[in-house]
Amino acid sequence: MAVSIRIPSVLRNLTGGQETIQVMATTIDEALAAVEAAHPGIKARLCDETGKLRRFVNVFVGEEDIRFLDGQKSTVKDGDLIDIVPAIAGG
Amino acid sequence: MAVPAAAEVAALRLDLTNQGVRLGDDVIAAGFDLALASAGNGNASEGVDLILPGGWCTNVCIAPGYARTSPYVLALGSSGALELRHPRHGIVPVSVPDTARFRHERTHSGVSCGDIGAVHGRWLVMSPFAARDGVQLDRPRRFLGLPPLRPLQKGQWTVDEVVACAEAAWAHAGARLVHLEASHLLRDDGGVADLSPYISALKRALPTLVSVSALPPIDASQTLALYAAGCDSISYHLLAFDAAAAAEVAPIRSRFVSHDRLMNGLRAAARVFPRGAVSTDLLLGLEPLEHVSAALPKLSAEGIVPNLALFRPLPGGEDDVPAGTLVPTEPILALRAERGDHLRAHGLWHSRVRGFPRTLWGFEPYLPSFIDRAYAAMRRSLRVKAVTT
Repeated sequence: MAVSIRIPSVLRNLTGGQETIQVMATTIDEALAAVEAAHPGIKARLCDETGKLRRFVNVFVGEEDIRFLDGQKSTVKDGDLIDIVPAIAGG
Repeated sequence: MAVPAAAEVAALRLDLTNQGVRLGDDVIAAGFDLALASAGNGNASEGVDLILPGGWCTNVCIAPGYARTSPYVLALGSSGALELRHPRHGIVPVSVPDTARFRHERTHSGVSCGDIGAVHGRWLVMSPFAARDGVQLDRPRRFLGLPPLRPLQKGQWTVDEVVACAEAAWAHAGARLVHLEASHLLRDDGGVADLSPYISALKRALPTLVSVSALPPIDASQTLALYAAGCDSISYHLLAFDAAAAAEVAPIRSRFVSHDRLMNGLRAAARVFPRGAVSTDLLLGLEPLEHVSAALPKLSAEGIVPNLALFRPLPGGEDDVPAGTLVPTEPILALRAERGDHLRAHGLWHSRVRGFPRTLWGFEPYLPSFIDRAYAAMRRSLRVKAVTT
C-alpha cells in the first residue's frame, strides 16, 4: 500500500527538508521502518530502543490517533495519510 | 509527594516562569524535547505549558541555554507521571496539556492549525500578519517580551484560516478566548482596518472573547473603531514606564511610536473599553523596580492595567547580552501584591476579559467562569444579528 507520512518540522532536517514522504506499508510499524530505511536516524527520534513509540509522540492515520486504533499494529490502506505530531507544543 | 498550598503554587509558577526548567534524561528519552521546535506561528515564547497542582497552567522555558542554571528539573516519577523536582519545593506533580489533536487539524487550505496558532490554557494565540507585513521593529532581545514572528511563505493567514484555527482550538483544545498579536504591525490607524475583519469573523463564528495586542493609532479616537469591531480587550505595550528605558530596549520601535503615542492610546482605550480591559506590559529589569512601583498607581488611576511581564529568550537570542538585569522572584512577588492592591482600589481587578500575557507569564491564572461566558455571549448577541451557514 502506498501511504504518505507527514514529517513534523522539527524532524525535517533528517528528511532533507521533505514535509511528506511516500512509502509502501500495511501497518504503522512497517511505515516507520520504511521511513527509517529511507532516512536513517528518524526512527530513533520517534521510538525507543525497543521500537515502541515514545510517549510524547502522537501518530494519526487520517483523523484517528493510533492510540485509539491498534497502536503501531494499526493497518493502513492505499492513499492513507500518516501524521506525526509531537504531543507537547512549545510556544 | 507533597501538593503545595495555593499561595505556594502562585510563587512556584512565577519562579518557574522566571527560571525555566531543565529536562531530565528520562523525559528527553520519552520525546519531550520535540516540543522545543514544534511551536506554532502564534507562539509567544519558547517554552511549554505545564499544569501545576490546582490546574494552574503556566508557560515554562525549556530552552537549554536559558534553563541551564534553573534549580527545577522535569522528570518522570516511578509511576511514569511527570513531576517537578526542586531542592526547596521537593517533588511537585505536574502534567502537560496534549494539544496534538488541535495541531493535527488542518484548514480547508491544508494549513496545519499548529502553524497558525498556539493554545495556552484557555487562550488561543494567533498572529495573522506575517512579519514582512509590518516592520521588524527590533532585533529580538532578551528583554523584549514581544512574540517572535516567523516570516511566512505567504503574506498572512486569511480570515477563513484564522477562524478555522479558532474553531479547531475550541473543539479540540478547550480554548475559549482568542488573542490576536499585532504588535509588529505599524499602521497609522493602529491596525484597525487589518484586524477588524478577523475580529468580526471570529465573533460571528464563536461565542468567544477577543483580545488584541497592537500599536496604538495616531488618532486615538480610532480605538473606538477597534472596540466597535468586537475587540474585548486591548494591550498597547509600554515595555518600560520610563521612556528612555523603553527606547533603549526597543530603539526602532521608539523612533516610529513615541511614548506619548502609547500613553495617549492607552488613555483613549481606557475611556472606551470596560474597566480592566486595557493593559500594558512593563518588562521587569529594564528600569529600577522603584520606577515600576511608582508606575503602578499612576497607570491604575488612569484605568490602565499594568502587567508585570517577565522577559523570555527568543529563538536564537538566548546568548544575547541582556540589556537589563535579571530580577529575582521575591521582589516580583512583592510588586505583584502591590499591583493587586492598586487594581482593586481602582476597580480594575475584576474584568471579563484579560490581556493574554497575564496568563502566559503566570501572574494571574485565568479560567473563564460562567459569567465570562455569559458576557461573551452577550457581546456576541449585540453584534451578531444573524448567522447563516
